[in-house]
Amino acid sequence: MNFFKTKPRTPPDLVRGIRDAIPKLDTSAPGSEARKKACEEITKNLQSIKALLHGEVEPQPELVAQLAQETYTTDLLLLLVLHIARFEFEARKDVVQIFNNLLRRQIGSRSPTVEYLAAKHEIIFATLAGYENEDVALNTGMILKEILRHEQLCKILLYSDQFYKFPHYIETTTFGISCDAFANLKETLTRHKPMVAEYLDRNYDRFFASFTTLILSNNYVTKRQSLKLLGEILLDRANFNVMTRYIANEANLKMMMNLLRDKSKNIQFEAFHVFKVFVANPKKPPQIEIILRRNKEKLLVFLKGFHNDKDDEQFNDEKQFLIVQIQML
Amino acid sequence: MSQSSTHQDPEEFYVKQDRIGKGSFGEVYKGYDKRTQKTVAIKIIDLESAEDEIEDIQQEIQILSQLDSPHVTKYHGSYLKGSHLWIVMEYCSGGSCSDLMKPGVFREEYIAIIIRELLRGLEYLHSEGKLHRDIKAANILLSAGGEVKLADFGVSGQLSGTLSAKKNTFVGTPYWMSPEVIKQSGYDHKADIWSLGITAIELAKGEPPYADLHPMKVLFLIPKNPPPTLEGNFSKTFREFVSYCLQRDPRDRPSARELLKHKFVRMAKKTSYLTELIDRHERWKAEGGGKHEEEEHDAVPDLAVNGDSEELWDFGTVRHANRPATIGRTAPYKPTNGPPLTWENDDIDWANTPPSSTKQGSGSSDSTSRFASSIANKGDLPPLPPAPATPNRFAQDTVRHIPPKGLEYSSQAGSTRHEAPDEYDEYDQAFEDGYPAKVDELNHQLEDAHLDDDELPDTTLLDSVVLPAIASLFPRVSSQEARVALSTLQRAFTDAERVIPGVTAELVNEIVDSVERVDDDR
Repeated sequence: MNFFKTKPRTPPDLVRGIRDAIPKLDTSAPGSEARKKACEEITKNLQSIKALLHGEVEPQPELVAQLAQETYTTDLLLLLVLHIARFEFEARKDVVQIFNNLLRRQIGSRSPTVEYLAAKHEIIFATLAGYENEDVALNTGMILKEILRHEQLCKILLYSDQFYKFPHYIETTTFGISCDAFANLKETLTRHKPMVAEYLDRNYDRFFASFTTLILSNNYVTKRQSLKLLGEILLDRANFNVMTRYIANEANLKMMMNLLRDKSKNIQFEAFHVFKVFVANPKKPPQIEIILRRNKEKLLVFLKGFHNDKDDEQFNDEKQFLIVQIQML
Repeated sequence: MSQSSTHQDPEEFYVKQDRIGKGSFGEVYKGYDKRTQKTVAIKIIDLESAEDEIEDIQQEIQILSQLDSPHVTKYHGSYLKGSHLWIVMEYCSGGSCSDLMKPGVFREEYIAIIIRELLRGLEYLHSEGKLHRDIKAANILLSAGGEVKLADFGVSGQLSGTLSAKKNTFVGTPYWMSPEVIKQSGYDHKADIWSLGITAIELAKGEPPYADLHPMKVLFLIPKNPPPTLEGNFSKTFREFVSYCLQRDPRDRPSARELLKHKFVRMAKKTSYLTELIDRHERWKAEGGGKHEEEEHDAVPDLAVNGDSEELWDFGTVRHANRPATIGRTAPYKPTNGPPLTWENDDIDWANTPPSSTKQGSGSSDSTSRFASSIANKGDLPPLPPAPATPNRFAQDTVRHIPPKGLEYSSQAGSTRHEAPDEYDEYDQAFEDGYPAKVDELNHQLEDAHLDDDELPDTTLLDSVVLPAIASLFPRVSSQEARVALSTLQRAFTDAERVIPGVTAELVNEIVDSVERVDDDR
């Protein structure tokens, strides 16, 4: 016992220990003694690193700096994300804590780990690909969430082709993971507004072609959450141009009018918050106005009976406003 | 483990059997995993009527998925079927401690074992930065072998490692709540220690303190009275242990780790002794105990299927040959001549109507048409608060909100609708979600208005009971006028509280006393 206490392992030792053990996970037979030993070695070293970063004692800045530097030069973060599924349960959680702690670390106004990741796109994409393995998806999802807080890194993902894997992940995983993927999609699209607004404006067609598949999903939660997100995106001032394009498209209006009549009241309600933008538009394009006018009487009857049980003054005001707008058509 | 496949239907993997419980969140079923034949517990929540946002439920699942302890029920996965969420958990065949107490309270030696195991569970949770927030006998489960597991994290919250380590939300069950949770003055893991102390009393006496009183009154008494003590024929160590847990100042309460060193639990026996409690319960059941327990239906209704979505709107294109270009009177929303939905309506069960408007049964098209009919029968639009206005006047009112591009008003709607009830000054908005979800924000507003201090009468009764109770009436009234009246009532209470601090608490106290006809204990 005392042997270990008197000779604490240095950050390079700890990082090397993990890097040496990871290949053994692949080469040794499953269930073998060698694999078990490699796993334990990784768990132990991750624990030590975690303790060094935020243990019970105050972290020592020079050790932390040494550790951070060591992880960059050895690409440890990439290795951790790529192999996290092979680690033990608690070790996976430690990977998340270590990764996110390093990511938050600042020296003055600089964030060294953010700078490192900005030059190492594959780490960001490897984290996203964590959704392909349900055993670790929620762990990598937590790392991804932390990554997306940084505009520079969020932008890398948004402008990549990999970004368009989100709908796939959302549609093919079980509830908890699907929701996590959706939450990170939402994070990508709402956290850094001006940056995202520019992206959406430039990539309007590709983005909405993809996003519409979520709105038309057969999955209740995906449908409901993506409609809600659509409403938030369109109603954000930063996305004014995008909104204008969206509400000029008659296919979009038809989709919302049909969703107003979805069997789910929650989906109807979210659709209302998109539909209202079409109606409230003071300069409705002719193709939009034609549809609204053609359905004027039906819309009036429909809206008068729409969610009358809601105790939501704002909603009721908005509904009245729409009724008045439609009456004036 | 299974690789992810497409949109997994839970019924491919699990078979749902008997219903074993029911909570505010939904229902719990026993079932088994088809692949392993292992028994599981399946919690089913209808997201369509759940009051929580999906994001909040997702947060809970995220927390559950990160827990792995023999003292905490294990999470196996969550699946969606229609709008029903299946959360699959470890099944504990021994049942809950509150079930196991039905034949009679536990002897002290058993309680010591249970408490030790609970402390181990709490030690794990707290070391992970998590709180349970609803410790009570009903949430303590026993496996067949007597292992003790903490269950039902329906309200657990995660303490953020970087931000304030104090939570400010109002959750739990009144009798087990610590004074600081009730006062919403911020709390930490020590709140679980208090609840553990109350649970110890519950296990020893069969009930938590104040169990014979109305929960509203209990909210009032716990912060006011000295902490309860364990009375009766129990060992000195047990009574001392309980008194350590039940100290008013959370800082005085030991941590779970420290309590594990207390003599009361150090002397406790192995968990396998607890199987005697399970056997006792089995015998009691075999002898006819608990015969009267309700056996309710186990149907989870599906959403009512509405009309085909293609059938109402006229887009001037015909996509299906059999769909007429215009649909008039046969549309499903068509007003009927049913009775207007008003206070007297028989459809509304006063005692059981949930505050959420979305819980109006499963037939969404039905209720829509009923509401539609009430409007149609009146022949005009509901007037708006604050003053009845003609449609023209109203249009002007609304325009006032509209900035140059004419759309900002909706932008506000979009963003405030979900996150920022504190921007409203109307209580009915703040309480949209009903008791007790949004009590916090309101409490902060009120605290701004008059500085709170431990000695001042606290406004818990106003914020947590009276205002939400009035708010819960909103969905049950049909006219704008009635809603205005309810708002006025809420404001009147708030005003009275400002002029006569503590008046709401006293009023509630009086009402509870007279309703319950219990002896006043002061």
